[in-house]
Amino acid sequence: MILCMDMDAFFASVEQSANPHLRGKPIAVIGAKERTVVVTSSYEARACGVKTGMSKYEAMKACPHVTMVTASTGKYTYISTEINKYLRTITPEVEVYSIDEAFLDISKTEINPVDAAYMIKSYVKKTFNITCSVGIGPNKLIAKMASGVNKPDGFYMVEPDEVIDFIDSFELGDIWGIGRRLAKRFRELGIFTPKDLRDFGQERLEEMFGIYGTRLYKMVCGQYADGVVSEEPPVKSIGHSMTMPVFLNKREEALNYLLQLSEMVSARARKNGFAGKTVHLTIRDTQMGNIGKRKTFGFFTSATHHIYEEAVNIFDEIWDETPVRLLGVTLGNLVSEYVALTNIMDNFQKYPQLYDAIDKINSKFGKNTVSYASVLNCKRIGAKTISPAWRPEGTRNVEFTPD
Amino acid sequence: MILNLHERVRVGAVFEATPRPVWFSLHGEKVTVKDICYRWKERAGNDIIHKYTVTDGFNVFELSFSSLDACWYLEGMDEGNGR
Repeated sequence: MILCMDMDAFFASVEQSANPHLRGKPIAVIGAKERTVVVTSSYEARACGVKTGMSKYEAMKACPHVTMVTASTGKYTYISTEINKYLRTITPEVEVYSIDEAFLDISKTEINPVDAAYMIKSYVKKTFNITCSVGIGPNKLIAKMASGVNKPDGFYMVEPDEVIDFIDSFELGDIWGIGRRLAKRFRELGIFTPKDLRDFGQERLEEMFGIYGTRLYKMVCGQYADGVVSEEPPVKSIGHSMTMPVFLNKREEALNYLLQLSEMVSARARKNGFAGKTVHLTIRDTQMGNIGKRKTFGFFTSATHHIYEEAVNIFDEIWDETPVRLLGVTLGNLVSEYVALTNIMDNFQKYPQLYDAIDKINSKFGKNTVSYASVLNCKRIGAKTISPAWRPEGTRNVEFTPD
Repeated sequence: MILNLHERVRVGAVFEATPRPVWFSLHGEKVTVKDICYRWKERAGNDIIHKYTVTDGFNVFELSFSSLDACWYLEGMDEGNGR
């Protein structure tokens, strides 16, 4: 059987548990002090209409007495890491799905799934004074959906012979992986329920969606082929993006952030032993429109100066002088176990020693102890928000910089 | 109102497996820790920072202890009298 552990309003619950003044009150956790959006909210705030993704202003309008709490990423990543360490004492087959969600395959253990669920729930409650919901099912899809049935502090188990009835109790758009947009498309075809989709037939779904049609058909039959992936899948790219605390209007301001982002990407590539051949730059404007472009080097690199140079070239090509809301730099086409910090085209040949010195100092004294002077012109320095790709260890692990 | 402070403070603590703050001084007055609400650890390079939220029964304080410098800081306080 597969277990899905899903923390209940994770960040908000941690903040309420850490500060008794916030308990029982509507609170919204926001990414940073400056202009930002609601990352999550307490159940009390949700009852007042506060939703994830709302701006601070929208949240205050929906719930005038909501308390805004700035996210404390170090606290959440510590708790998530500790919980995942505990999960691995139950079974090594643990897939960290996000900072607040994990799948466990306990098929190869002798632990009863209900006992495992209560062990996890009591550990989380006793150690961190927060709650989680656990769903159990014969596969990840059913376990994931079962975890949402009795939230918060919920538990639900679906036996293999109950799978069809369980799936049929959901609307099509509420099935994990189908989503509202696809459900709308099905509604236009007169398909409203999982049973309707089964009756529609596998062949017709395959005609419409190809291989994804097969997957959809199996999902509404309660089948899910993807197992629990406990090993970190190979990293395809390393990227960082940053929402600007204020819109950027000048090229020089943007270049300071590009340098910072290039160094963040390079530092992670250096630390985890990767070199890449492609740089991708993303620019988001004030109307939330994205433009981006990639360029490929004639060589592999892990070096900030190479990534930055190419990022600036792309920026100069695609930026049309509209104010910038977000910048993102990604290094792709990666090779592992290879770090390339200089090449014969560089005028300065001591880059490897320079990067080595930077990494040693930052590793000993903390992130950004040594960085480029231009980065000091940035109003925001370091990673502040937790990406869905964050993992407690490996290449996807990112150290956060407190406010 | 949550105030961010990051002020070095004197703390009386019991060192067990991890340090447990018992009292700290705030503007010359001794504040007794009635309850440790939460504790967690953060890393800053080689340093492990032990962090706590504590209460004296009225206000909530965030304390931190740097295991490398062996220094305590009052990181912030919430007087709990509004937003």
